[in-house]
Amino acid sequence: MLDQKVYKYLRGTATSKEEKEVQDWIVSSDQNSKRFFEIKAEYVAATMDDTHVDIDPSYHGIVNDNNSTSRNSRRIPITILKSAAILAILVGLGFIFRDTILDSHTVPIIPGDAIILQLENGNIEVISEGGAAKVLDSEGNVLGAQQGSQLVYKNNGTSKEELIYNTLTVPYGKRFDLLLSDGTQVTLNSGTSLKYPVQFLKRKNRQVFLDGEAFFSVAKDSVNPFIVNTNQLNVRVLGTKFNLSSYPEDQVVNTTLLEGSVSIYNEQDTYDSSNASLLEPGFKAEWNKYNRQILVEEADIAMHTDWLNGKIILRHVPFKNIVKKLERHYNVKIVNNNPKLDEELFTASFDIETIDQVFKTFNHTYEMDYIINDRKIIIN
Amino acid sequence: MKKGRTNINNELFLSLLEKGEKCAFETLFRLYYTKLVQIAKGYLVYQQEAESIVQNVFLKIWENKESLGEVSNINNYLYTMTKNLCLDQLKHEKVKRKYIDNSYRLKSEIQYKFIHDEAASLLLENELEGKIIRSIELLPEKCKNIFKKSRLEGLKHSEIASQMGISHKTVDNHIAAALRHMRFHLREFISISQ
Repeated sequence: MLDQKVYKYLRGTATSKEEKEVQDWIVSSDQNSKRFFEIKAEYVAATMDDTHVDIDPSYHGIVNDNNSTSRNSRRIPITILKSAAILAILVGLGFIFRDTILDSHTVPIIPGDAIILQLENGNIEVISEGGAAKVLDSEGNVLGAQQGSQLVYKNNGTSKEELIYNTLTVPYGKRFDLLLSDGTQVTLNSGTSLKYPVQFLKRKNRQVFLDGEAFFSVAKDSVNPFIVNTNQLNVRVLGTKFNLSSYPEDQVVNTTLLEGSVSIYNEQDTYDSSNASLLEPGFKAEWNKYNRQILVEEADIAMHTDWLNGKIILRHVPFKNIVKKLERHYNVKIVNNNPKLDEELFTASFDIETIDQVFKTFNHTYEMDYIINDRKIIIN
Repeated sequence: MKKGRTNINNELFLSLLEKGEKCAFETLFRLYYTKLVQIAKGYLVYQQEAESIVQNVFLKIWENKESLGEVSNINNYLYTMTKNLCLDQLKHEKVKRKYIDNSYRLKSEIQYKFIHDEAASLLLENELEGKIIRSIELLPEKCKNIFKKSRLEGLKHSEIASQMGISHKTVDNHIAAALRHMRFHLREFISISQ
């Protein structure tokens, strides 16, 4: 729990109360300070690739380049863009709200861009961002509640014998947090669904089912392993932090480890240390669905986890793989009629850019003939 | 270092800097500026000062370029200088803020300890060098070689042409392509001109 506050503190998004809490924790012992400095150094290292800074004016300021033309920076402060985005979301929600009210006498229509929670009995609930949804069981007991952009499940210590599952589905263009009843923190990326028990059973593996990409911060429990089942693959951990990307349309399943250790093994096998690949922090395991091989190599952590901060980082990625990422991140449809472009490699990072700006940037390097029509982009 | 690997402490590159070659200086600036700004932000209490501090770092390097001959590790040099200027800034702020701002005190106390933490420093310095090398290494083979020869070793287009056994025109084309490529691949390079 505190880890999360530390990251908020580092990002500068902590409330003043949280800020004080983190600071007090840091100064309360040398051990805490050490831990914080380590996290902070890693955080700073990960932000080094951010290129928000407009460097041309600064450079010319130093060497007094006479032939440089002074250019006005067109950079819009991020805060303004953020407010605009929030406003856009609010306006959007307003429409959904109005439509729901007006149509309330008919069968409710679930908007395609809604976050959806499917309950054990098959009922579907729409989770609105910033809402306060409650998850109840069949007897009306509260299992969990929404807190802002997070759905929190309580551990109410019941000795139920049967696992009850919920499934959370996050559409393209959105992300959502989940706190499971054992304290495991999961962030779901766009276009992802996760099926999980509302309450884990004692003396039983903690197992969840992933379709898409998520970042797991698994609560330590050395007795009951946590297993993520995905696309022919099982990822088994005791308590650790890792990113797992397993979109059905991707050729590979990537498991990237930040802390602790994880074992990866074929879904059909039962776990045994001899048939599993063990991963060390800083490494990733790439499972190829077609030749069913696992490739373990050192990972660029930032590239695999920066989606948590709303970014897309591409390093030497073929265009055909970028298309899907952009579709998910921006909730758009991209049709590429230029097969030559598919294999072109690109390196870039995007965060606050609009999809128009993204395509303008691509166009700088590789001239492409494209049309953006609302949510559809056609490349010829 | 193995032959062919990128080495930012390349003697030729350092001597180009020492001679005041604008092209080498610009390369250094474009490779390091934004990364050092992020590091400075990590060290300061008032992050908005970060850019002006890093600009001062480069200003000092440019002004004292003649003494660059004594530098053996440019990465360490840039990192240490940034860190020292940040420390000066923290001290300066401390005097100014001492009696006014309570919430500032705790924050600056933590930042002081952080800037003096050796493990964190080591990690940051190594990460910085790794990222710089990787950002060059990530370029496609041809672009990378030409970039290294032209920017880090300061070879003229005609020299590259005879070394690689290709025509002058081909080198021009490759460099144009490399720059076009870098403009996107490394956004830091956005206005490198030929």
